[in-house]
This record gives sequence, structure tokens and C-alpha cells, in this order.
Amino acid sequence: MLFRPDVEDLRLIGLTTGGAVGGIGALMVPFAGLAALLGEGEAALSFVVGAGFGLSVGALSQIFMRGRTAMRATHGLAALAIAWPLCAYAAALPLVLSGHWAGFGDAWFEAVSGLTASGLSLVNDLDHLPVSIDLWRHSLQLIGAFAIMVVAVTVLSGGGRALGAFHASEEPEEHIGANALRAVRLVGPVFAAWSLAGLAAVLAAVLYAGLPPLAAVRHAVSLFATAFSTGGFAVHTSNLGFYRSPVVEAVAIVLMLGGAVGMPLHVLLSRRRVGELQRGLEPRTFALSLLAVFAVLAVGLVRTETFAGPISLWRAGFLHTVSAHTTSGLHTVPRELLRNDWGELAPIMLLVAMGIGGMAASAAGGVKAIRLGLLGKGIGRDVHRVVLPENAVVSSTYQAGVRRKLEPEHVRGAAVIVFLFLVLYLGVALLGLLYGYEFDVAMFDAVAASSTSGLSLGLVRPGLEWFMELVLAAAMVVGRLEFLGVLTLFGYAVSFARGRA
Amino acid sequence: MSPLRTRPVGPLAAAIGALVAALVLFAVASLAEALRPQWEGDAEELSEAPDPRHPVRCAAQAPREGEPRDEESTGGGLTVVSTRELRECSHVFDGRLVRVSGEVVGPLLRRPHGVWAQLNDGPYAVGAVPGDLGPNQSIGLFLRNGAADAVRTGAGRHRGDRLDVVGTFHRVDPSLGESAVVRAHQVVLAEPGGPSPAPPRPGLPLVAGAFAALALVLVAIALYRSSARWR
Repeated sequence: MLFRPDVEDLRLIGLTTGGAVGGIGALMVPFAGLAALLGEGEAALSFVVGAGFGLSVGALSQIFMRGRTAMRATHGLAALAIAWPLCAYAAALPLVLSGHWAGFGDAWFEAVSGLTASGLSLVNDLDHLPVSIDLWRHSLQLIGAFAIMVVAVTVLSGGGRALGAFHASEEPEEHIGANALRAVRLVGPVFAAWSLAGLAAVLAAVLYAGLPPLAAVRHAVSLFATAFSTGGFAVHTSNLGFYRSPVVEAVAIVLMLGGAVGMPLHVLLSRRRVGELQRGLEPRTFALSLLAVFAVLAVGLVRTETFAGPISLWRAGFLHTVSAHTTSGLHTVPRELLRNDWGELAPIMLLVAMGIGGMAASAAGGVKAIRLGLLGKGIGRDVHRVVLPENAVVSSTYQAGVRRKLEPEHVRGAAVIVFLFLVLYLGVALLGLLYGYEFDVAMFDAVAASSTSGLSLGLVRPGLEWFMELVLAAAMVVGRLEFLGVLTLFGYAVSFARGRA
Repeated sequence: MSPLRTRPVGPLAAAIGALVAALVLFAVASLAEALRPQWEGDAEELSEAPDPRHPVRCAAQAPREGEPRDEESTGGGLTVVSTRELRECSHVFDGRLVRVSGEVVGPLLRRPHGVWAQLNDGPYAVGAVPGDLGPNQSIGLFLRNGAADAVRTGAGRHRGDRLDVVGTFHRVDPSLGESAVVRAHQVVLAEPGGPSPAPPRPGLPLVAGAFAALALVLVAIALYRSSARWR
């Protein structure tokens, strides 16, 4: 029987959402100080407005919505689906006040893109953006990446307790508050370790590339944030191509791969269980898929004669393959050249890579390698069943922290999510077609948004139609939360309308 | 649903709550829009935001995959182009002598064999204009050592020097492997850079003060209630 949500349900959802918005507000306070330090007075005031709004919402939720009932997984999931766009709303206030976005809608889209670590941008005159505002939009990617890792570990593995049993169709745990705290303790050290090492590596690389020391610090922070969070925002219009440096690109590749590695694997590797890299279904699927995509993409580039030599082909081809597969969106080749100079096969392979994405419980989006692996295993088992005698018992196992038996519900769960992603990709692309964009552009950008990748063939740009903008922003949130939060929210909406009192 | 059921919320109450929240959000968003920098005069004519549905018409079609590419053309004389034309028709201008004009932005990357810079043309390169005329249009620029010694680059509210550059465009640079670059042979300072102030916004400090005061009061109340609960 369907029950209407009660006051307690709404209170818990409101408290969580308000807390998240309050957190974004609190994070803007140091940025106001930074802007003042840099002499960017108007940006500092803009951050004060944003911080004031966010902290007010957070405080109001604490004043009116505190209670004694513990939160459950459904409350958390519904709150997530509301909190993501609402946090983006608060985060967009300093952006729109800078005057570099055509309106509040564009600034909100940018903030959604940042918090979902997508990297699609509607910014105008990026190259003259105040430094504090630019650092804020880069920081949004890190905040979003950290949040999604915590959410994934909280919801999917009981805060990391069942780390080895992590996979696509795990039942959500009920003790969500305790799990979230445990997840933060698990994700925090991994994030901190990567931040220290990553920042040092990027700083050394950009200094080697020839940047003056002060500019190098700013670029290092931004580039680390965008690469490790698998975001895609950049300091300058030419994106990663600005640095004209294979060393910077190599560091970015390592960081993008690090961001696309699932938190369980990070933890297992930190416990020196290196064998998981070789035996684990997800890392193996990811590596295989990455190499296969790169191989076909390289064939396309050779056929198109885009590059004169193998080194430049390898350099650009591999970087863009990693960028697409980790759903980062960093690029060294302008979008016009990707479309006109890379032939047909190479952009299609980038699209496929974006669609697959990274690993579960990572900063990356997309379908996720574990689901692809489970589907592959499921197909393999069915083929065995057909080939072997009728009364033969066919069983299959896979490695995900521990050795697990492949159950039909694992394959079914993976298939459902893959199907939903395909529907999302095609649905958004269809809207693009209705707006008159060519199929390749509409499909590429639809997959880029839905898989939270930042690569674009030009559809996402300032001046984008408002409805298309709204749908792409929704696709980023839905893709980021892998349908879970949004479906829960939909369930609540149905309960309001049709549930019993 | 929570295990201990309290008063259920009806669809009407939920709809009214959502409407009130939406109105508050709309009001704050409208206030923020109103506080954006307002530029005088009509800047519409400067706008040239690219739209993939209206690509630049190139002199020749890009070769299809599997078709042989034409050899890099070195003849044809000097062509005056925009950076957008260079990117969209890279196959046409590959290896040709071109003339581009624009603002140098971002820090210069000094290397032993030369200097890398980003050259922007389009509406923002001409001076103080509104910040909502579309994305920057840029191209990579490789200068010989010494050619960029006196160049001041643009960032934030400072416009960089505008340069007239004559150089060879490469779709992919044959020696460095970089995409979409102009190797400069001749660089002339067309216009020195300078400050590019935004219009004043007297309302912004007032609104910021009001939001800060509201947040301080509400946070203080929340902390007081929280501490009372602990006591």
C-alpha cells in the first residue's frame, strides 16, 4: 500500500537539503576573503551574497527542521536529488553577479555542471574571469566529486563496511547517517593523499611548462581540481591545450585515471592489495575498454590522416581517449577540429568512451565499467548454458574485493541501469535534433551531459536555448545520481498524489 | 517513509509549499540578475556567438575519412582571417600564411626555443564590452624568443595588448605536434592594453550587507537553539 509522506519525512529531507546548501554557503566565506585579498572587491561582495543566502537556508533548516527521528536511505536519496540543483542555485549567485554569464539560468547551469563534475560551460569571456570566481567554479568540481564518492560509498556499501561487496545492484543500507560518517572517514584520507601528491605534481609540471610562479600556483590548483574530479572546466579557452606541454598532459592523464578509479579500489590499493588491479572485474573491464577505444580511435585518425606522425597521434589520441573514458572533458584540440578534422570514427569512439565512463564510486560518470563487466559475464554464462548439455550446472564468479558468485539479479540490475542510460542519451539527443542540431553534434553533447563529461562539439555554448539548457542540466544530475535519487523523488511525488493518508 | 508515522502531508499542502519555495528562489535569482553589471549602449552588433547550426563556409570541404588529404599548401599569398575561420576551416588554411589580429591573454609560456601565447579575437578583444557576448575565440600563437618581451597580457579587468600577427597556420604543428597554432613570423603592436573597468554597482554592497546580516542572525539563533538542546 502506498502511504503519503508525512511531516517527519519532509522534515528529514528538508534538514538534509538545508544542511547541504548551508555547507555550500560556508564554503563561500573563505572565497570572499580570497577575492578581497586579490583586490577583486565586487567578486568578494558577490561571495558574501552567496554565502549569506546559503548560510541563511542552512540555519533555517536547523531552526525549524531538527527532530529526533533517524534518517533512512530513501530520505537521503530524495534529499540528494533536491540538494544537487539547490546547492547549484546557491553556488551560482557569485557567478551571475560577476556578469560573465548571460543570466541566472546560465550561471545555474554552470554550477550544476561544476557540482556534477561535468565541465560543460556557458561562461562568456572566460579569459577575463576574476581569479576568485574561476577558482570557485573549479572548486565546485572537487566538492561535487567528493560528495558523489561519499554518497556512493554511503548508499552502496553501507559506508564502506561491505567494501568488497561493492557492485551495481547492492541493496541500500538503512542506517544512512552512521554510514555517511564512515564514508567520509574512508573517502577523506584518499582524497587528501591524492590532493597533496596531485597538487605537487601539477605545480611542477606547469612550472616546467614555463608558467611564472604565481600564475603556476593558480593554474596548479585549478588543473588538479578539474583533472582529479574528472570535471573539465579550464582556466583558459584553449583548455588543456593552453599549456602546450606533454608533461602537463601526462600528469593530467594520471589524475584523470585516479579520479575515475572507484573508492573501493583506492582503499584496497592503499592496503597493498595490488592483485585486485589484475583480478578485479571492474579494473579489468575499464582497462580493456580504454585500450579497445583507443585502438579503434587511432585507426580512425590514421585513416583521416589527421596527424603526420605516430607520436603526435598517440599524444592527442590517448589524452582524448582517457579524457572521454574518465568523463573528464579536458582537451587539447579545439572542438571545431574534433568535428571537422578527426573524421567520423574517432569522435564516435570518444562518444562510446564517454557513454561507458569510469568505475563505480568514483568521480567519473557514465554507465560504469562494473556494469559493462557484469553484462559481459552474464552474456558469457548464457552462451555457456546454450553450448553445454541441458542438465549442466553453469555458474560464474567475479572478483570485486572478494570472489563473488554471479547472480541473475546482478546482471539484471546492471542491465536496467545500462538501459536507463541509453534512454537518457537518446532522449536528450532527440531534443537536440528537434532544435535543429545535426545528429553528430546532438548525440555527442547529449552523451557528454548525461555521462557528466565535458567534451562538446559545440551545442553547449552561451546562447543555448533555455529549455535545452534545463534538460541538459537535468541530464547531468540524473546521470550523476545514476537515477537512484531521481526515481526516489519521483516515488515521493507519486505518493503525494496517490498515496493514502 | 519514517517508521513512526506523524501527520501526513496532503498534495495541496505540498504544492503550496513547493510554490512558496519556488517564489523565494525566483525572487533571489531576479535580484541577482538585477545586480549584474549594466553596460550602456547597444553591444548587440559586436556579438558573434558561434552556433553549430550556422558553421563558417569554408572554401573547400574537409576530406572525408579514408579520402587522401591534399598536401599542405604553402602558396596563395597572405590571407586575413579570424581565429574562428582558422579553427573551422583548418583544412583550408593548413600551412598557409595568414594574418590574425587580437588580444594576448593569460600568462606567456616561455620555453628555450620560443614563447607560447593565446591570441583572442572576437568582441572582447576590442575593449571594454559586456561580458555576455559569447565564448572567447582563440588560437595558439608561437613566437620567437624576444618577440614577446614587451607584450602585456590580458587577465581579469585588464585588457592585453592587441597584436597584428603574420604567420603560418598549422592544423597540427609538424615539429611540435600542437593543434591549431600560428607560428608567428612578424608581430606588430596594434594597440596597447589597459584597464577595462566594469560599470559601478552601488546596490551590490547594500544587498551583500543585508544577506550577511540575515545570515549572522539566523546562524546565531540556530547555534543558540542547538546549544540549548545540548544543555
